[in-house]
Amino acid sequence: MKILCCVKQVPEKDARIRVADSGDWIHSEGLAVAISECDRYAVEAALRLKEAVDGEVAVLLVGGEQGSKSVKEALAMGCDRAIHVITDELTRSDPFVISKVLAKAVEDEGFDLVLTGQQSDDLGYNAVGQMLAQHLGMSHAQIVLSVDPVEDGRIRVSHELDNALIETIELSLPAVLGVQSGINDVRYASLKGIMQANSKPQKKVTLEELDLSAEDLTPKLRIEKVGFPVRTSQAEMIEGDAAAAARTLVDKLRTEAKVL
Amino acid sequence: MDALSLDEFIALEDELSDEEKLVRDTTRRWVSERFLPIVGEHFENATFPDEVAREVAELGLFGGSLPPKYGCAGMNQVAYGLAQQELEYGDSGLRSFVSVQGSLCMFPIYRFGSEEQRTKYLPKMAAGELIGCFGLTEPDAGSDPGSMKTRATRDGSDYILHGQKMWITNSPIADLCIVWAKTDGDDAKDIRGFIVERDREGVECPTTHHKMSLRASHTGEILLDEVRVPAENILPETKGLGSPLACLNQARFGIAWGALGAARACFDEALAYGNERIVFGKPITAKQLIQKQLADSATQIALGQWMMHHLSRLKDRQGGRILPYQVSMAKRNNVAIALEVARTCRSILGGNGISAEFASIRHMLNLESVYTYEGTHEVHTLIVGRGLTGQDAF
Ligand SMILES: Cc1cc2nc3c(=O)[nH]c(=O)nc-3n(C[C@H](O)[C@H](O)[C@H](O)COP(=O)(O)OP(=O)(O)OC[C@H]3O[C@@H](n4cnc5c(N)ncnc54)[C@H](O)[C@@H]3O)c2cc1C
Repeated sequence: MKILCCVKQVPEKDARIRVADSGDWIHSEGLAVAISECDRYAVEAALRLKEAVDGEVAVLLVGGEQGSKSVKEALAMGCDRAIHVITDELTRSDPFVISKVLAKAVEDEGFDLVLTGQQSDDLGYNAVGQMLAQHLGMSHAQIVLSVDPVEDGRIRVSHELDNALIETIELSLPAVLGVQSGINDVRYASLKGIMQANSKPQKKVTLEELDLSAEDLTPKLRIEKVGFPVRTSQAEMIEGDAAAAARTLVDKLRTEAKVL
Repeated sequence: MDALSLDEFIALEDELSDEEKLVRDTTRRWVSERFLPIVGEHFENATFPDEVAREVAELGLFGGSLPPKYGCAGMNQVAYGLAQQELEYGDSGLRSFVSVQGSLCMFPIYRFGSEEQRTKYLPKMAAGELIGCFGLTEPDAGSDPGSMKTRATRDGSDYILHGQKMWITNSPIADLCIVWAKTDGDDAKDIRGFIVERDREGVECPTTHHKMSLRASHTGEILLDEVRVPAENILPETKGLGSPLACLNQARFGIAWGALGAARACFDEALAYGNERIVFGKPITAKQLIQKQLADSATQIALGQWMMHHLSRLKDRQGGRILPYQVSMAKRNNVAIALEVARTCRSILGGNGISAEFASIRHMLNLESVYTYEGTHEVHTLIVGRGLTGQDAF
């Protein structure tokens, strides 16, 4: 099975984020970077599939030169080769443009399965995978919890629906899957693997070489302003006896805070 | 104003290669996910989580700077140092475990051993299948190892080893001991290194109890009662006291890095705690005295970082060698400042600072051992002094 894993590089989880003077982006100089959380689980899922059915896993990353760190990490974890679309222009781009670039970079490769993370740690649009499937004309599932191969070029996928329902479906290949975080134990790259990552094939292409149209490169979305949530000290006391208060709390968490 | 992170002060991120960053980040992730959740309990119980040996080996941390042909990671000195720093961010006991296996046991086999010994032992030690310990210190020979009493007497094609080693990290769980003993005469130049398998008759490795420092680490003795080992167990290239000291210099370099990790762990904890701790109506980090403590600590950590980056790049450029005086200067300085930072941070935590639920007191207690082992602070002062004046003041 030919598997592709799309990986995004984002600021480290505990990096100290500060808003740039321009007000529409963050201060990114000297910031430690890492592979986005969900994408790690996608890499692990891809490697496990490869180990189960044989085949190869390629990793695809769109980003500046510093993206090579994440490319090498994926290779050190066990991916076989890498495609790195080198560009500094798309850091703030929208899912439409990114998915166009990803699609163009691999359209002639004939991948059977493309894994992406469900959403990225930084912008969190949760849209690149869906659009990529559309551009490549592949089947698609989101919030994927497990992937198992079945015969005849099909896979069995379980994924989350609203209200925490889990659905298991069979998809025909080729397919694009958006992988949820926390679905497996992600392996650590070995230090030996890290030191030898450079010996694996890494194809570097520039945006120009991909020959995308002006329309493909025109974002549909523009970031006007970024900022931290304003700290407020609003607190609401829920009155009543414990059972009733608990019910009200759950209700509020569900409908107002939308965290359940 | 938005606060900067200490990493922004140190500003080394862009100086590191992808590989160096990945070694650091991977070790950091492993320590935080797999080790930090369990270390506090092990420290309190004076146990070491032996099960992490396999994971440490899988990561490639044992003998990490030795060549891949012996199953090692082949890291450069910066990557190696960053890994030690992340390990000691976890606990000095963890870094000691890795230092002893790599710098004090695998390194002497690599540097002073025959090719046969290298291929026999190194891959298994890199894989964590064989754990080693390093026996130099004796009850009456610590800072002055040249005065050791352990003897290796030639008997036909064998050697008979007799003596006692104490304060030996990992001896209670070791499969093999690198034992330093005098062969022909009573001079420091007669010291040779031997590989002594633990299961040889006459070898015993009792555990040392009652430690108030480095509690999450095995420490014990090596008792050698007329232990017969074949002559092929001698490390052929060892010649005099310089040989064990060469091993110690490898380990001391790692310690100089590691101590900064322990200091950083305390600093991170104290800063986070201080930001949340409201006293007299304000977070304590808004108080001048606490800011001075943080500024002093951060400055010492940053200076240590810059020093180690420079020395490590130098070591890489010079084929793995820097002056032993430079190593002494780094070990002496970084452990002393780490101890000071740990004490300061412990105090910033107030009463909570003496609880093992926080990391600072654990690091503070551990660093007392690190201050003493691998050449005490005073011994390194004398080494640097000798370098500066050309005069021996031991
Ligand atoms: C937890 C732990 C683990 C250890 N692990 C190992 C190990 O794996 N292998 C191993 O071989 N050893 C190990 N050691 C031993 C350690 O290296 C020795 O304890 C150290 O070298 C000091 O020796 P000593 O304890 O005999 O002290 P001493 O040499 O008796 O020193 C006592 C004091 O005198 C000072 N002093 C000594 N000489 C001078 C001088 N000339 N001028 C001024 N002051 C001086 C010292 O600095 C110290 O303050 C370990 C020790 C500890 C605590």
